[in-house]
Amino acid sequence: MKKKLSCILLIEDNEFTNIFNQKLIKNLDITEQICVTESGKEGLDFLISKGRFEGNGVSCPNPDIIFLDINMPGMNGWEFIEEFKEIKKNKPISSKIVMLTTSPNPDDEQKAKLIAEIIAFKRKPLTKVIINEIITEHFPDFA
Amino acid sequence: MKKSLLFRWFKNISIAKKLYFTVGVMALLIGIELFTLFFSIHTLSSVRAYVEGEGLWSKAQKDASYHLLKYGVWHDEKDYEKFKEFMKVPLGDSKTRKELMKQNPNLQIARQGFIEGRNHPDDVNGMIKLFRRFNSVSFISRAIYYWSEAEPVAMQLIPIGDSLHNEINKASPSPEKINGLLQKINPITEKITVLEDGFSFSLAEGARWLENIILKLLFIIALTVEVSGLLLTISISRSIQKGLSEIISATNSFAKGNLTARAKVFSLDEIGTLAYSFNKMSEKLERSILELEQAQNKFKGLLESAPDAIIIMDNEGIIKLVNAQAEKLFEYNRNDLLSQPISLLVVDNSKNLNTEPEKLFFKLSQMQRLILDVHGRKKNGHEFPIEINFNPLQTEDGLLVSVAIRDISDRKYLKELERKNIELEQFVYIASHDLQEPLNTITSFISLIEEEHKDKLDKEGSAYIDYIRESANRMTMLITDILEYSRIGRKSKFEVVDCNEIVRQVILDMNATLTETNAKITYDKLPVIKGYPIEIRLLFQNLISNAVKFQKKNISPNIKILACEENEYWHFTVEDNGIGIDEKHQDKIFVIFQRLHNVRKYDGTGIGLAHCKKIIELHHGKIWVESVMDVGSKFHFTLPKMEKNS
Repeated sequence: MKKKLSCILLIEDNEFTNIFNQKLIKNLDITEQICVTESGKEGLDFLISKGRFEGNGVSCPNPDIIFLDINMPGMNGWEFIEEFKEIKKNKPISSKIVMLTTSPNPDDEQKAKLIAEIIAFKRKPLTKVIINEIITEHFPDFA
Repeated sequence: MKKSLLFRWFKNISIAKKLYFTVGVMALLIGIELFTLFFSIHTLSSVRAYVEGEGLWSKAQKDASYHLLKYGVWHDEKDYEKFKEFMKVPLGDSKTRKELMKQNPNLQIARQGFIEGRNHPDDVNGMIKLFRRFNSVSFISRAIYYWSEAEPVAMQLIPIGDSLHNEINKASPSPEKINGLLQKINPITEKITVLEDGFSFSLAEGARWLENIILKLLFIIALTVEVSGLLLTISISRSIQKGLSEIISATNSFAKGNLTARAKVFSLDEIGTLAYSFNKMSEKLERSILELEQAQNKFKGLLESAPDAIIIMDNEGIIKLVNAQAEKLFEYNRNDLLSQPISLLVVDNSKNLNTEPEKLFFKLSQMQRLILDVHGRKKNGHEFPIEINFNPLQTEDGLLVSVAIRDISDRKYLKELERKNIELEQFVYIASHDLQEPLNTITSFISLIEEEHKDKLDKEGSAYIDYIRESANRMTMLITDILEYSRIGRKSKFEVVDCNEIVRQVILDMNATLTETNAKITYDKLPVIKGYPIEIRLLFQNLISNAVKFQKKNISPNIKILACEENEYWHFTVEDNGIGIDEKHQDKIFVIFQRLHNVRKYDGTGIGLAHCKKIIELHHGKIWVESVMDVGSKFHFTLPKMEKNS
């Protein structure tokens, strides 16, 4: 019985993508919990237990991996990262971020490389191969 | 010859000298006249002295004769003494005459003689000169002849007197003898009277002749003075007038615009110098005017050759000059524009400035360069956007303003086009992004169906699922390519690009494919250029992958990449031994989504060469193909050389 990650957070505005990604990760059986938020704002609320997540006893405010979509209405991926950095100053959060994009842009990829919290920049759709690569590379204990 | 030389000399001396000369000549002539007058008066006075002398002589002779007769009658010794006294006059005159008749007369003796002859001492010198000067003149010589004839006759009285004296002083004088002697006296007197008359007439005649001669002489001299004075004055004033009127006419002609007008130089005097100076001045003026005209022509040439419409206006905004471009741009005839206000052509649409446009333009023209929201208006009323540029122009007519006007309709249109192009690219980018998402969902769930429900599908169902996945993949490829195409040249930086390095990397990236197809790629000494590195890389990648892809069965691709200098460009060629392209399709291949082959035979989206064309055009180069079916293709493209100093 291999070791499982405790929590993976998905931040993605497309409902179908969320369903698919959830199913994919579940099928791989690598984590205890998969949490889904549908905007950057909701993702932040999840991390600081506010809004929808206030007082309902979320068990994992420190997910191991955050799969983050860049292009979202309201707060986009980049803006989320700025806020995330702010939160990290006051809270012991060690989440690693995997950025997902529909249309890969070399400029975005370049930008992502300069941010320490981002461990990977991947093109959608998410696949088993991509997830396995990330686990092997960044979480060898759970492979 | 001598006269003309003198004439020429006179012509060329200064006017002052001419005047001095004229006055000098007059003075000389007047001097001559005065001298002549003096000489003639002197001579006439001497003639008068002779007449007086003759009178004295004649009276003395008569008195002597009378006293001798008286002596003969009364025997008074006193009478005899008086006779001798009176006889001294003819004796004195005789002494002078005899002396003067000599070759070298003793003038002292001659003077002595005349004074003894009772002549006035003041007249003596003149009488001697007249005798000596004019003794050859007929009248004078005749008078001298009568004088010399009369003299011996008169002298006969002396022996008669002596004999009478002897007789009377005898102890017994004989009355007969005395009477005889006395009777001799009267005939002598009569004889002398005739000769005296001859002397007087000759002298009077001589005097008249002399007067006549002198009068004529004086008249001639006076006439000469007047005529020569008149002639000289006329000649000088004429020459002055001639020179001056020549200068005046040349000046007038020059003033009227005949720049070649020159004054003839007639003399070297002040007038001639003036004419010469005038000529020099007009020569210089002519040259300056010609230079000015040339400068003006140059200016006009520049004005006409300027690419912009140029209007020159004064500070009232009145059009003074326009060039051909202005005529063309505003569709006016040049003559219809001159003296018109510039507001005829230029419309200020901003309207927020409550100044008359003319004054506004003038004020604004003080600034170096200026672009306003102004429109040009053609003759037919059509308005069009313009760029306007003022420049103050200092001229002899005061401050003018040159207005350069450029029709910027095209530029506005281009800007509009550019903006639309950017919008379109943005649209393509967003559209392809938004298309990609549902496509991702399709492929994702297809894979889920395959994974989780494979056993529930029959063979046909599995095939359908395959078709859906394949189509979705293809669509993903297409959208990705469109996205990339729209992104070419955006946000990328112009950098120094080493083509050798780019090609090396592309080959490295394509390693798997190249090994699989056993492709051979050769390249040698490719240049370093300035360009967009990502795009240049994409260019080589597309060309090489095409060369590998469109290959005949069972033949290994052989690709050669070369570059050579061609003026300001590098001329690249990518040559393969592939299937080649039919000539009729050679234009088509660079158009987006143009495919020549079935996807099953040669996969791809048909966008690769469109990419290449866009990239080359981005670098201001050209791309074309040379190809023979079944032999191979040769893709040519040019990229600008890097500037040496950049």
